[in-house]
Amino acid sequence: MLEIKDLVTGYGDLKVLDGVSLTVEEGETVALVGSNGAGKTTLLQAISGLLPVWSGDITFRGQSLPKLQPHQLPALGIAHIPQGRGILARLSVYDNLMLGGYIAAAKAKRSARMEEMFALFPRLKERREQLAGTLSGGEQQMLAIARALMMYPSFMILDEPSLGLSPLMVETVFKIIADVSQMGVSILIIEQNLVEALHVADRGYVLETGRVVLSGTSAELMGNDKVREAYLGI
Amino acid sequence: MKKDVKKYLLTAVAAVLLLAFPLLVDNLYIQHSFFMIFLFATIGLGWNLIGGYGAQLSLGHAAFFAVGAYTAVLFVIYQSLTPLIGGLVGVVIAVAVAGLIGYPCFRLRGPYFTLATIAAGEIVRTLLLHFQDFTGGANGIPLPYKGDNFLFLQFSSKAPYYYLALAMFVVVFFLVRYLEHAKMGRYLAAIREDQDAAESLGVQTHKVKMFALLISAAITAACGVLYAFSVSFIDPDSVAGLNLSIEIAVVVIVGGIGTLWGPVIGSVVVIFLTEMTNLYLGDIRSGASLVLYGLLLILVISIRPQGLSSFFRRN
Amino acid sequence: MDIFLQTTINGLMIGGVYALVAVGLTLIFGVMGIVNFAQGEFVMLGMYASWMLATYLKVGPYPGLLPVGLIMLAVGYIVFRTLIARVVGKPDEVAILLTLGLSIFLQNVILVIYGADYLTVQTTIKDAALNFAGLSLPLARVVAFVVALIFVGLLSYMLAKTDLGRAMRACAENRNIATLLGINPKFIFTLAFAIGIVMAGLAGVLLTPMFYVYPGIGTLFNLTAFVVVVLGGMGSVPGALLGGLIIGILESLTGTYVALDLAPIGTWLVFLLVLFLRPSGLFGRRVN
Repeated sequence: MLEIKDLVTGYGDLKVLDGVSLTVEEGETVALVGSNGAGKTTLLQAISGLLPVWSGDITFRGQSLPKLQPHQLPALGIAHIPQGRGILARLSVYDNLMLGGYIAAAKAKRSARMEEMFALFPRLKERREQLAGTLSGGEQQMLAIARALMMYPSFMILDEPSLGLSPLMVETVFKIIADVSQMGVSILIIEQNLVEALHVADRGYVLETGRVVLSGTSAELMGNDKVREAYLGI
Repeated sequence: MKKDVKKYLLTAVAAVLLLAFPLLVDNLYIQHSFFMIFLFATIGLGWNLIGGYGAQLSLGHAAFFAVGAYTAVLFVIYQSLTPLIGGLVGVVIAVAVAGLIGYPCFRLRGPYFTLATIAAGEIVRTLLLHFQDFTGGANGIPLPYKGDNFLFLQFSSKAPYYYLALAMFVVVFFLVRYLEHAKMGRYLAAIREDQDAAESLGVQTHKVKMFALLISAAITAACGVLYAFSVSFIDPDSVAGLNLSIEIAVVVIVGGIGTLWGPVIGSVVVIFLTEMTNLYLGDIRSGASLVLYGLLLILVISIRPQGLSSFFRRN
Repeated sequence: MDIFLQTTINGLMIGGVYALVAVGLTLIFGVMGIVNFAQGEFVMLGMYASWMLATYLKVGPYPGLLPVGLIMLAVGYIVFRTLIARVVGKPDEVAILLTLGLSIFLQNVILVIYGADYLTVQTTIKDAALNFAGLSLPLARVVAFVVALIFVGLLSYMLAKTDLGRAMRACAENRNIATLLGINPKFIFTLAFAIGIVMAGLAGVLLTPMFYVYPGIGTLFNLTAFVVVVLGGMGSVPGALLGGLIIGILESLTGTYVALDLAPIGTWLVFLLVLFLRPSGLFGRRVN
């Protein structure tokens, strides 16, 4: 579904990614782990077109993404939840969700879909008219996911969903992510919280200083000594 | 060694040409143009201290120009006092005004600072218009002609004004050049890069910016004095107007903000353009020169924001 | 008391038109971060367009609203695409200088074409007035006030309740996030800029029966619009509305009770006070 081949890119003169290749198959959930500065967010930015690609290719269902304008990606079914949740703090919960259904394909079914989201996330329904910035971290994450679901995505990218959340909230969020996966949405998730990430994912990649150094099924990665030592301190 | 010799030779030739200029060129209009070029180059160098090196866009500098001009002229009219002293008083007043408005204004950033300078300039202009019994209001003040009299900066030909402007320019040029390399210049450059970073490194940004503004105001006021006596009358709109403030800024920006030669090149280009247009199209409609002037600004900002002097720098 | 009431209401009404100009300015700044120093010149263009329609096509001032609105929409589109688009995202000074150049250019192009003469529009409405409760309200002002408020209201509604408005507010907050939602920032910016220009042009049409039309008139409204926007808060539409009304009243009161020619100083002093004490204005976000 998503195929990244030998991706090289960076900021200005600084090369961050040095030949990254990875895939996400239809229906899969894939985790991308690595320490800070490894280039994880850079990779997501490149996928979403927010960062130009120096060389290599990114294809989604056969379509080359760098050839498109960034705002055309949602129409392909790609929903990207950036680091920090990416909600629009100065807009209401309602407005955020409405914007989730901005693209033409989703607009027609918007009110019905919003009701579905409110059923899934009753807390959001309570806070419908509130400014999104006044929500707690966990609620914002739910809003971000609900907003992403508004566009009927076939592929969801999540950048550090557990960041800044309490352990209880993290559990809840990952349960929701698992539910989303059950809906048939393919997911690429970046996480520092290895355990939760590999728990919910089918496969994983380990990114270090701009290169993929390890890959395999979650079980394989969880069992790998180097991984356990580097990321779990075991 | 050869390069230095070449440089000194060129400078010497230029100096000779500049000094002999009024003797070589008889045309009053061209003499006036060159007078204006050196005048604006001087004001521009002063403006650059705060606008270029300090990176705070002031669109209110006409206020200082007007204070210098009006103070000197009013002293002549009411006290028969030579502008050599009256002008000095004007410079002091302008510096005081700069201190007064600079102090609160420097807390503002970006467009807010610019808007505040516009407000300051407009207040000065409105006050000059209002106290018409004293200042002549919108009708301005005609300068009493005292014949050839150096003490009152009155000359029957344009040449002395040209030399005074040239002298002023040379003094200010070397002053700014000195400041550029002195501690002050480096502090200003640091502030320009990143004011907050500079502060955290211990640069007293307020003091530095204030210093730059005060010198800038003094230079501008002094030019205002010289200008007032080179024309036959002054009025609030021509010496305190927003258009003048804008022209000062445009001269520096077109030439290259934050560079030493920028104001000079900018002044040459802008004055040349406006005077030539006035000469050839002036009788069609006044305003044609300003159309080009606006277009010039648009083009420079759109295509080469570093200004025209960047074509000459090897950097 | 009568004079006070009369002065205040006169000021309130002109304030409505100031608000209309300011709303366009604040929209442009809010959505794309561009400080448009030529906003007043677009008011001036609207006035000249209105004058042309009245003089050559015998179209009255108010029916002229629609054609002028359409013209300004096109003008706004062209100006954005050719000039403004490339400086979005650059430091504020760049936009200020660019629009300053544009303002000088427009003012003087009009000067060259039409000359410096003060033009007026012949309409019957100019002399009509509403008289009641001891007040005499010039009809042109009342109409201008009402129509201006209607447009400000329409814009506010658009921003709050429509998809386009939401998209604009999204771009205003964070254009990258907006992009991730499928919003095309360039399209939104173009539209927001064009609408901002239309507001200025419409204000021009409303002002034509009340003011002389001459090339430099834009500068007055430009400066007033900036004062209003700073008072109300950069990027806030309700702020621009409230600010416009306040400035209108303030200017009117200063003109009547202090001195007519000092009317602008009252405005400037309030402006400076706001800048020094609360630069974020009445409704703006805290400015660092």
